[in-house]
Amino acid sequence: MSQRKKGADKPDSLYLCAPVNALVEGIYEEKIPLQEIKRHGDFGLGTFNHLDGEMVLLDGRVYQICGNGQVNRITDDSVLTPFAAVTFYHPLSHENLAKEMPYESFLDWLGALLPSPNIFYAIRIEGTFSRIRARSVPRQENYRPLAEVASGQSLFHWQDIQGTLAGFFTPSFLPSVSVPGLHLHFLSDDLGRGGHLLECVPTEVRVGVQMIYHLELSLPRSLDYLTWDFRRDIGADLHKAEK
Amino acid sequence: MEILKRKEKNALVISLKGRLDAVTTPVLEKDLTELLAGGERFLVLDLGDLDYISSAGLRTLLVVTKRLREKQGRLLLASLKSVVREVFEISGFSSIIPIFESVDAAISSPG
Repeated sequence: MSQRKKGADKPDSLYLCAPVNALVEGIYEEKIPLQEIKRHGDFGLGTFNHLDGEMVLLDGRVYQICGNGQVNRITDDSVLTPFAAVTFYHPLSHENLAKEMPYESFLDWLGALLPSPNIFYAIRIEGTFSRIRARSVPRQENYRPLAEVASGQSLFHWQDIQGTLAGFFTPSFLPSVSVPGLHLHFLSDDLGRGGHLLECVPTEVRVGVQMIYHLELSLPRSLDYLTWDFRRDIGADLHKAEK
Repeated sequence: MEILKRKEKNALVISLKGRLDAVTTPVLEKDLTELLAGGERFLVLDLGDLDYISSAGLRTLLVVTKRLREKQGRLLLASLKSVVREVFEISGFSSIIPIFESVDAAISSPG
């Protein structure tokens, strides 16, 4: 059942500190501190300045999964990010899956939990996975397109692992704003492993779903962002970088 | 989940007991699809004994409501427990699918 908590005094909203197209184009440096991100949510994902690893925000705690796989708890709220997607998480409902399911079937199963493909959802999946494939990225210089960076990403494979997948579903018609479809980051229960999810095989998981009808999008006040030409279609690059 | 059906006046009243979630939703969706194919156009879901509804259950009700409206039919909800009503209110579905205090009130509501 739904749990109302911090942030419940206003409508559930997905907050993006920048549109994802800026990240895809290689703008990896913005002056957005975690303090600002946490003002808008206690749950979500993102990255850090210079694309220095994957970010997971769980229960108000920020974790950095570095390119070498090391996981750091980030307690310094002055750390900067060029992209984060967050919300105050209070799920509408939960489902339990108590059997091993191949990834494609799991995606179909998850899809059947979403009443409409035309709104946002926060999704939290906790439990045991017989297999997870994830990635992270090493620190980058600005302006190197994300699709190019993705070709040098670090890939991680784990078996029989317990942890949490945290992230969002975004409607297909908003690819310049957020990653369309499911975008999930993983953090193991022992806080030692994690990354951007590429594939998983759940064996026993509990899935929380939060319906989100509101989008709060900040546009960066930076020279790079304000002077960039975003007319290029980034669809293929985004798919290559995220999937 | 138990599904019981009875005809009352011009409506088919469907009582749901238990949980409407990812496990039970396919059963209800199949049932409702067959009823629509059989020509039923006025469905009242009696949710007085429904203890839980998940987003998967909402999805099915949205799909069935859409199909019924395309055929000038109606799906109404009645007798919701507070925990179930809360899900409809938070999800915004209470403004899409009409909710009534009782089955009688739903059946006698103007079409």
